[in-house]
Amino acid sequence: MSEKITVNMAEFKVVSHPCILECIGLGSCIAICLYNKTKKVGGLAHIMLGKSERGADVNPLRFADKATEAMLEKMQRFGCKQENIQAKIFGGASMFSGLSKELQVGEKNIAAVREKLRQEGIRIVAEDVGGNQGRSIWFDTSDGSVVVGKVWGPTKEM
Amino acid sequence: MEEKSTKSQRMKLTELELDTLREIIAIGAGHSSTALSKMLNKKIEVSFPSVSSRPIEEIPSLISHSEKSVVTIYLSIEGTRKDKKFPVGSLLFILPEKSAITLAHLLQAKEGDKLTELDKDTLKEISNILAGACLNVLSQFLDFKMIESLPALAHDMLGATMNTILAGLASMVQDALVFKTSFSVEAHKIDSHVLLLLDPSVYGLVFEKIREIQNV
Repeated sequence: MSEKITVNMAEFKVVSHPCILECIGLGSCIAICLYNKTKKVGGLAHIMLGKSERGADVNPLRFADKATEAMLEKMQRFGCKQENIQAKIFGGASMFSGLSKELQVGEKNIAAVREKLRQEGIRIVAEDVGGNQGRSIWFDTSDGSVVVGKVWGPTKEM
Repeated sequence: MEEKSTKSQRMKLTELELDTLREIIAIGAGHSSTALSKMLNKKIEVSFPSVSSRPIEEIPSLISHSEKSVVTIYLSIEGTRKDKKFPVGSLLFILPEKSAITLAHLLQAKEGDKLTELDKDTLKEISNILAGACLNVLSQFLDFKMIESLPALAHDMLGATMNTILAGLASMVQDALVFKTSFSVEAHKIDSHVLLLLDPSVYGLVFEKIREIQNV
């Protein structure tokens, strides 16, 4: 069994050794998995919101833009070139039906994550986003594969 | 202007002021539990509310593990004062899956081990009644009207059900003031947790009222 590291809300981890990075109970939050295949360096960020707002004195890692930047910087320190990094994204569900549009954080998060990755020139090679169910994910940094599980239904590998 | 200066002057309550606020919320929770007790015709145990200020991302751990299967009912609270409407906060009823099913079935006097759509509607309705009973009390003490929204329900992992509500606060404040109380119906092994998350924009007004109450 390889080592398992849980990445909680507003955290990120970058590793250069084979292990499982996991996010448990993603709702409207998104897990951004970044992977450099040749170097086998993997990063996982668990973000709550899309874009950081200027002036707010809060943990920047809650936001997709800041967390992605922090993760890329760390991967570069492990010798990864940005053009060799690929992404997989998971989450962004709308957990409560019947909430007003402004409370549908999931959809906004998906759009913000896609936009940030596009700006950084990182291709999304797999995703399981949206819907109205929570997800847990297990990211295997030995090969970049991700297993997605929901409360109901079977798990799938992506 | 007036509210702004109050807010910047003192964003923190003293221990004694916090106790007063907890006391008020305890009375509100008491009214809710009485309402539930009458409907079920059962004795309800209700814990004295705890209060803590903690980083938004740590709030789910106040309840349980992120992967725990729960039913969460969410109601937003809107305040009215001098004809102005403003957000007051969020109320979350969180029940472990089994407790949710037992409670819904007790209320409908039926049996079974699955949560149906009708059961979900029943839980939403009961949350609405319990929230109303509690907010009535808070309104009287804090001297502004409070109305709860229609309830929304999610049946999923605890972490997932809390994400959206926490995200609403995550861009505003590092730490949030969280009140937590627990109800249990011992005879039927029903546990439930209630979280009240105040919107940071209402701290000033609430704290001001608490200080007034204390000075009387």
